Amino acid sequence: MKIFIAHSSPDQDLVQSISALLREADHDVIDPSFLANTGDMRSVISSAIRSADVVVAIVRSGSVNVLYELGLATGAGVPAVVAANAEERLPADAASLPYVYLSGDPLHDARQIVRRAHELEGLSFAMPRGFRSAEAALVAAVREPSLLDALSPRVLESLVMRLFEERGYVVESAHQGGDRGADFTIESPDGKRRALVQVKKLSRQGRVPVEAVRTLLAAVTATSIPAGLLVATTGFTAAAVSVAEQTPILLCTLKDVLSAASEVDLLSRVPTTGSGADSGHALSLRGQAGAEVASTLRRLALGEVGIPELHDARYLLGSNGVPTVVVTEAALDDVKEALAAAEGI
Amino acid sequence: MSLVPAVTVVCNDEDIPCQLLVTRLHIETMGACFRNIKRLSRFCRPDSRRRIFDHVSWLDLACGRGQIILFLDENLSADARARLEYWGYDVSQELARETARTAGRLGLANLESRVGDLADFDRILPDDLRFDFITLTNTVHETSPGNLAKLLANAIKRLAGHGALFIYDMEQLAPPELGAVPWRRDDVRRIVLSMLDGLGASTYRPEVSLWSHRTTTGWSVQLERQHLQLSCSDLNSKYAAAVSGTEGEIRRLLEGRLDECRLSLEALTTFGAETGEEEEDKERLLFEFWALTRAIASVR
Repeated sequence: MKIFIAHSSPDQDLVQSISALLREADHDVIDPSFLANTGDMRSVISSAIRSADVVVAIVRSGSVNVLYELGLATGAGVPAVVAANAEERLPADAASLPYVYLSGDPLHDARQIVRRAHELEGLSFAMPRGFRSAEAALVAAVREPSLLDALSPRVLESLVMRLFEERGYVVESAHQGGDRGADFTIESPDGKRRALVQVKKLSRQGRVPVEAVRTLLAAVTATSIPAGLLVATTGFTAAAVSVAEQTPILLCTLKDVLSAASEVDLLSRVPTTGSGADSGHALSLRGQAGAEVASTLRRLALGEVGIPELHDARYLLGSNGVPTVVVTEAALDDVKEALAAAEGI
Repeated sequence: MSLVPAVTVVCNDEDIPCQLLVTRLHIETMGACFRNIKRLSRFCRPDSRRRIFDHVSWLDLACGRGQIILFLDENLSADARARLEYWGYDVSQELARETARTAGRLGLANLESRVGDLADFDRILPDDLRFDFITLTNTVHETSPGNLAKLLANAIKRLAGHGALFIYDMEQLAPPELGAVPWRRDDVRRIVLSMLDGLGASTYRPEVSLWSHRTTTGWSVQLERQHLQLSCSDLNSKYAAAVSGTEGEIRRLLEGRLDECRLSLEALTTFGAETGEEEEDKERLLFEFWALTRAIASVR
């Protein structure tokens, strides 16, 4: 493993202790103090950081270079450990990085830093090194919380995107259009199911709140995509679960996604509710239609049949699995006629 | 086919004060106006060419204290400012006077101010007046949704041949304002497209841009009269249908949002807020519930 140690002069003793421990374990250490000054130190340091497996940043007040090098590491997708004493105020952007509290005992601190650096070995932006696939990297991250902690939200999103690609989905990033409600879209290999996906990385104690469900729901409503998938590293609040159950938003933890047996298994649980045009005066066809119409509704819900008259209707997948179309009273006759024509009833 | 390149701008100008960012957006839009006017001048007779190129007329709807023009001297040269004919319009006479005083210090070519409700601006301004540049900033959330479609249509109607309408507002208000309906970028897109479809300009698809600030996100949209490809008489003949259709779209958007809001409030009532975020959301949802309920009543 190659480790770059970003530091300022006062921390030289600590850096020597860290370097000694790392070299004992046959790791390579890059200390920028000893990099050859070719006249373009910025490029030299940038290259050195990009070639590293892990960056250790020893932060203290006034150590602007250390913060700059930490920024380079983060931008390059190189995992980083931040070490600082309790009095240091870290920038908000660095607050989520793996952290070692410096006690003042160089040997003790060095051991802590080296232990954290070992935990990060194998993780990087492009593809966590040592993992043959995004799925393998995510499985490892789910099993080891510190690995998951080390992943930035952007890297996690990238890995989840790759996971879907590895599973045969067609994946398209939503960022091209500046859409803030979703990270990317997925289309199942058979082309029949599409969903907007939002990936949320939270702290271990965090819970995805109801507003996240609502934001994704707004994104789904604004597009022609019938469903949303909210993938989180932790769980969801009860309010979030409650709202999702009544909307076409499926909540999954990362474990759920990894353990889904197939793409059909994952997306078939998504209720295909569309946005309703007139919610105030709705009539449900449920119970009023025969089995044939119910079958057509199921096909409608799965997007297999398109009926223009139902463009503004709302589809529900009831708790007993029976698809229900909610339409206005004024549209009821037209809808029945269209359904009958579609099924040849 | 879209006449305007689809460009979505997502900007993290967190260090730029909101007002300055909006002013910059104004300046860029006005710059586009100047360029359009220059192009137009090639087809005009020599004597009219000078008149067209001399000045740009600007209607600042809901001008407030003139917050937008406060930074004009930082962004426009004295020569450029000297070619601006500025019309400030606001509901408050006091604010309109303050704007006039601010504008007076900027060396503008001309300065007019009018006072009245935003919904009435089209009736209050002289009938034949058209503007090269019309702005509506940080106001849509305060506008009654029942008047929004008509306001948009009237602003489009008041554009000169190569005029541009620039609208900017925030997606969320912090702190929330009682009765205010902040619109999301996607909602605005639907409203604008509904209006354009109603006017028969279905090939014109302007993008609604998104801007990130420290505490909120904002959206902006720029409509250029020339891209509607409609004569004044065509626009007038389609006005009523366009307004009606857009009012319908606004109503659907409001009802959809009220459904979402209700679902969230119901869930929080049943299960309580489990995180600090949900605790903050509760207040915001209550404000939104009231605003949407009130707004829906205004569009029925």
